Amino acid sequence: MSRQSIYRKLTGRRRGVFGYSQLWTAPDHLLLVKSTRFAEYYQRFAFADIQAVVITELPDRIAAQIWSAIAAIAWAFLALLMYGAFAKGFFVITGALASAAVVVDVLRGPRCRCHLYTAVSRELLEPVDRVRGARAFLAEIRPAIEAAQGHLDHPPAEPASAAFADRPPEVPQPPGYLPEILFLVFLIDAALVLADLRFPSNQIGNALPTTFFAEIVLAIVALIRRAGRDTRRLIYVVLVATLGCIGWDAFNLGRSFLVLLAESARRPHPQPLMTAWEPLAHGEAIFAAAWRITAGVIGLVLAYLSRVA
Amino acid sequence: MPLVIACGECSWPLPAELWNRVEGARCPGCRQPLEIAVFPAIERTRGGALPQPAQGEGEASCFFHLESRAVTPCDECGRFLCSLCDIEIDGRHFCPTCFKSGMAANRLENVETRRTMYDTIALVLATLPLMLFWPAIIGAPAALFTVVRRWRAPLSILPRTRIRFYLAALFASAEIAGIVALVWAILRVRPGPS
Repeated sequence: MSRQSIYRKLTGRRRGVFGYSQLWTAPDHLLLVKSTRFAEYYQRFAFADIQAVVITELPDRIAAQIWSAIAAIAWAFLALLMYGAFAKGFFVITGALASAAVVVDVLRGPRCRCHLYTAVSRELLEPVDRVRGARAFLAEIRPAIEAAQGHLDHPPAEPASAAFADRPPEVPQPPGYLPEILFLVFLIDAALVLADLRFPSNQIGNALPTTFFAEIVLAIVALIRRAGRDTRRLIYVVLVATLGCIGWDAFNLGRSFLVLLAESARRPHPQPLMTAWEPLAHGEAIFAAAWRITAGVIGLVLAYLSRVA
Repeated sequence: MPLVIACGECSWPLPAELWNRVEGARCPGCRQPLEIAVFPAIERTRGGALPQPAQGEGEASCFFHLESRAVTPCDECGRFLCSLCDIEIDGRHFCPTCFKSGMAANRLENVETRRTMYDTIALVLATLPLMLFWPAIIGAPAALFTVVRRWRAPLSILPRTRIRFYLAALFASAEIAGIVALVWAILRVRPGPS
């Protein structure tokens, strides 16, 4: 017969790959449980010893959430290109699950980090990871802490951190290697385009939409990250110049794919789409390979020279 | 040195003017919104009572520090303890030796920092090897052994039933019965002389 536990559940489980963590409350302390499934580890924080709880709202992830939603929906729409019932079901179900995960993430609200301070430790409370939940958590434990300690009406006369009240100086960040990676991807894509031109019967061309998409994402991220951390100008001029070319290639790819879809719809007996796809016409392919080689080589040389200088 | 209350995003120290604001605050470093709840314990000075020196012949001294005055006996072994050696847990007083042995024997539930979940281990032993079939020959007896051996072992300090133990015993018994039946069937259907 198990005896009555003194603990009451305070938060849900924050699950990880190898376990979870959860917060429980007892009459006189807070219990942080970290579990590996096969063992549980306990940390107790007496209400009388808790000095502070700091909830920090984290930067929002709207862009990442939008991209995730678009990717999940696009994944589900791949079912339209499939013929087998299993393949259709697979893409629809996995796409729907991914979309649901994005929706749940949005509905749970902004993320946060919650730290608990005692005289000897600063503990990150992993189960408290959303602002809404953190406020509920604080509202739950504040009366218990104040019952044990009383209320702090005034800030201490000499705050320990008064010397840091001003905004800290800006710390320069290293520029990173993203533009270099993008120029390398240009060269790889040029090789793919030329290979597709030389060996049109194989499936190299089917990889081009993915690699072109990677180019667009890398270019946008590189331009966004440039602000405040990368003083090199020339390579970004080259990068901006390539955006128009990427757009032109994307337009050609999209057009050829739509033509393929239309032709497939006209056929009485549908065939697998991707095996019949020629992503770029001859002239378009030459142009795509040429500008990529040019931009890739110029960009890499400029990046090398700017780093040497 | 006391811990400095800092931003959870950029670790920038947060000045006292930002504490306990109803409307919230923003980090001076990264400008992220913050909620800082500070309690009176932050003003408390650290450190316990220092042991007092023993005054005379008739006064009890600490078992571990003969020069210090005893303030309480250990509730486990009865040794006299000074304020330095006294470890108080839930109103009970322990000497460092009894505290250490109590921790090792899991007798002090309120200071335990770890427990092994034998019920989960038994359930995993009973179910996971079954996926590859033959490993169940080892997994099922091991699961049954764990159930029997650890039936009385303390479970989590949190509310938890013994359902995993029951399930593990059920699965392991069924697997062992199945393995025995399979071996019996294989032995019976021996190829005859041709």
